Amino acid sequence: MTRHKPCRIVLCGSALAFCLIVLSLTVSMTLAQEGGRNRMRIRQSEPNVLAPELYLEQLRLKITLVDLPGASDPRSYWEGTYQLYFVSEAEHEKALRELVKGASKGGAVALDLSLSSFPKKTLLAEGSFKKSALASLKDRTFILERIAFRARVPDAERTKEARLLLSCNVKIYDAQLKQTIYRTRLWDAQAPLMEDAKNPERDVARTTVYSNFYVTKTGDVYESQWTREGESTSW
Amino acid sequence: MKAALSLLVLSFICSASAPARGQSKPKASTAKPEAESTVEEPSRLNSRIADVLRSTAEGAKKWNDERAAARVQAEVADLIWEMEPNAARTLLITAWDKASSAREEKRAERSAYRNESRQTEVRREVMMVARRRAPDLARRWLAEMAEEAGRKGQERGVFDDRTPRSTVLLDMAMAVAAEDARAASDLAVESLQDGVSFGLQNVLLAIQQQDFELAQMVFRRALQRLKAAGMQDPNEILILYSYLYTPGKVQAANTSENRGSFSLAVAQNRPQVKAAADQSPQLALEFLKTAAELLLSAPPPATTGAMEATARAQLSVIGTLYPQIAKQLPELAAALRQRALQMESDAKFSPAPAERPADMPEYRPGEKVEDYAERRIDLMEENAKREANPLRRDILYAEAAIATAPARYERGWSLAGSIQDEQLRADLKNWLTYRAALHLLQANEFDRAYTLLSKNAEAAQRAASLVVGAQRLVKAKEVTRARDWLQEAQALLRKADMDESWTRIALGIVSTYGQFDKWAALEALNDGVKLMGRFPVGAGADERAPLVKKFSVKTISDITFGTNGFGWRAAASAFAPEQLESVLDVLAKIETPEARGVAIVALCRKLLDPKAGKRN
Repeated sequence: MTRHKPCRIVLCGSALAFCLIVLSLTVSMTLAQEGGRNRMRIRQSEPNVLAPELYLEQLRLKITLVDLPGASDPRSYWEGTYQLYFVSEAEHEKALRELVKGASKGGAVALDLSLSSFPKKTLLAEGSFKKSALASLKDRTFILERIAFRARVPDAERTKEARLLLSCNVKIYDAQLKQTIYRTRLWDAQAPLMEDAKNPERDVARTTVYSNFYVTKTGDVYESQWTREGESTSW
Repeated sequence: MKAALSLLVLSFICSASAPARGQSKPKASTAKPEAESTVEEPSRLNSRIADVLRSTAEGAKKWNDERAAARVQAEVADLIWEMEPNAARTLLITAWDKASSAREEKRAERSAYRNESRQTEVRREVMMVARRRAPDLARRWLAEMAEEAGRKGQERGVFDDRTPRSTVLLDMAMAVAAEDARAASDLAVESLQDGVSFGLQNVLLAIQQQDFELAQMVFRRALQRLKAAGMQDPNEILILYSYLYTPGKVQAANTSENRGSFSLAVAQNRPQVKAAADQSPQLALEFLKTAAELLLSAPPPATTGAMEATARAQLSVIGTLYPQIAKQLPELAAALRQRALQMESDAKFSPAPAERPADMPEYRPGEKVEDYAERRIDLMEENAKREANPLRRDILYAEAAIATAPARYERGWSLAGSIQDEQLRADLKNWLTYRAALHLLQANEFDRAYTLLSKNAEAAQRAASLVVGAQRLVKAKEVTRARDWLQEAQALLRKADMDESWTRIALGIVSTYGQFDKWAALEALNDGVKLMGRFPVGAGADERAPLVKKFSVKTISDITFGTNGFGWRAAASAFAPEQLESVLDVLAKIETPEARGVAIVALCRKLLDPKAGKRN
């Protein structure tokens, strides 16, 4: 299922300069995953269904800086670190249950999807990157091929609802904005399935894990984990 | 008639060439159309200003920035209308065409919350002039916009107005509400043709500040609209609810799977009005009755093609209105409760509790806001300490530092001190210092603010603080000290690595000097003129102190809200009529024609004397 996490607070310049708050209560501005593909495709959950055929031998990690105002300025750069984990469906459910249990009666619960919430997880890939020429989309894309996947997941854990956790931290310097942008993001994706790049209405066996960033002319940052292939530099 | 019109256009073009200093009436004005034959002789100053304006408008035809051109043409049309109505009308039509043909910036992304269109903004400015000067044009253009809206049908954010036309109408209503509440109410009622828009509650509040009876009339028209059209979007009900019960805070209907989640728009400058429901319980009762009936008569969610979203939205509206309805209309409340139970299964809410961000501790009953805020910072600091990844740890420390209150800058500095990334550490410390200095200046704590701002290594932030301080010092009648602060800001400007922030600072220096020394203002303008061409600030831009954002993390406050004086409108006010030629000479040095034109028009608007008579 493609999930869209809305921004918690957005500032916008209407006559009275309103700030928009989701879940209220916060005091400053956030602009998180935001953009045109605000759709949410509902997919029926299929708990405890083994689907070994969907687990490919290898995965690919693709981290893309889709565009930024200072792309053609040679002083712009971006760097980042990543960690990719597999978490079994049972472990994922258990961690969420623990979090829910900790909530006081009737209150909200902090679904802190930090890596520490998942004690049993399998590290699939870890590393860092730095790119200092950002003129083309290719220049702005980091790809890690051949991440061993199927062999790292025990037979009994190859279920449809198992998860991949991608922790992605980036630092982007935009020389046109004269601004350094820092973002940290933990993506929680269905392990064996992903949105088909050619037909977003259907899922296919996962080949790639995505993390996409986009810097607008005003320095806002959009983030997503959507399937993203092709040459488009629009969000 | 056609020939007369051609002559008129020709006369406009001929007289629009670059005016020489001291030039008197343009030669082409000898072609006196009938409509302009009865006007009086203008003052010499106005005559000169008209020449300058016409020349600028003519030049705008060649500008690359079509929106800037449309803005300037509309403004010039407005300014010369009394003197040359026909030429002004032609110019206004040109401005509209330019605003309409200006391509929207390539921006594929649409916000789920609020989308703004630069084309709509410019059209609003042209329309404002048309409404005042040529209502027939305004009516024609609004009809055009309605037709376009029907064709486009873009996806709306929850806090978008119903259509671009309603945005324009409500923006115009806001602009005139303070001086002409009746006109504002007419515009607001007109916007209801497209439904109840987010901006309506804004306008209702503005009208209420002038005339509550009028506001009630507009509100009742909105209710009539809802009754006639049915509940097309539950947000329409919540917009009206917000006006009655929570002025300045608008909740949107929830369509997410989390039952407790909702989006809230909060005005940064909350209106100081008594809630309309308290002033007129009868109006509130009418609303509650209408809203309840609409909710009860809405088609069942299962028949709408978007069952879950419809059910969730309606349930969230019922949840918001229920306490008020239960108090005043118990029978309808019972029916709504029944309706809510029926829709419960359609909504398919997630059984999991609502998410709370990991950096927010649970509320303790009766806890003071400040205590909660401190506990929150503690939690954020703990989260940062626990983080193993260096980049993520730095970001978490930065977010914690930003979450501190402006007056608690020392704690912010301490948190920033734990950041390993040198650049982020330095930028963040400067930003915390800038925020704290502005905070102290708001309270006229000049000595403390000066000590603090002197520690800011970011020159633009230090200079902007000095200008804000100088503005406050002038108000406090400490002119000598204000001059010292401005001179220090100017010294920083001379050494600066230029960007748009510095243009704003330069304009801030000009406008502040203008309050007590108009010739120093002229010198300051001369100092900043090169900068103003290279890094232009638009005429329509806000006049706040620059944010000077050197870094960005997920959360960052809007710290310069409430400051002003850093734009062309304020800078243009710095000068006296006798300085016109000197100022024009300086502005002529601005290299970019758009920036030069914007500056000239702002100046002319300030110096044009409306009482000095009309021109033939």
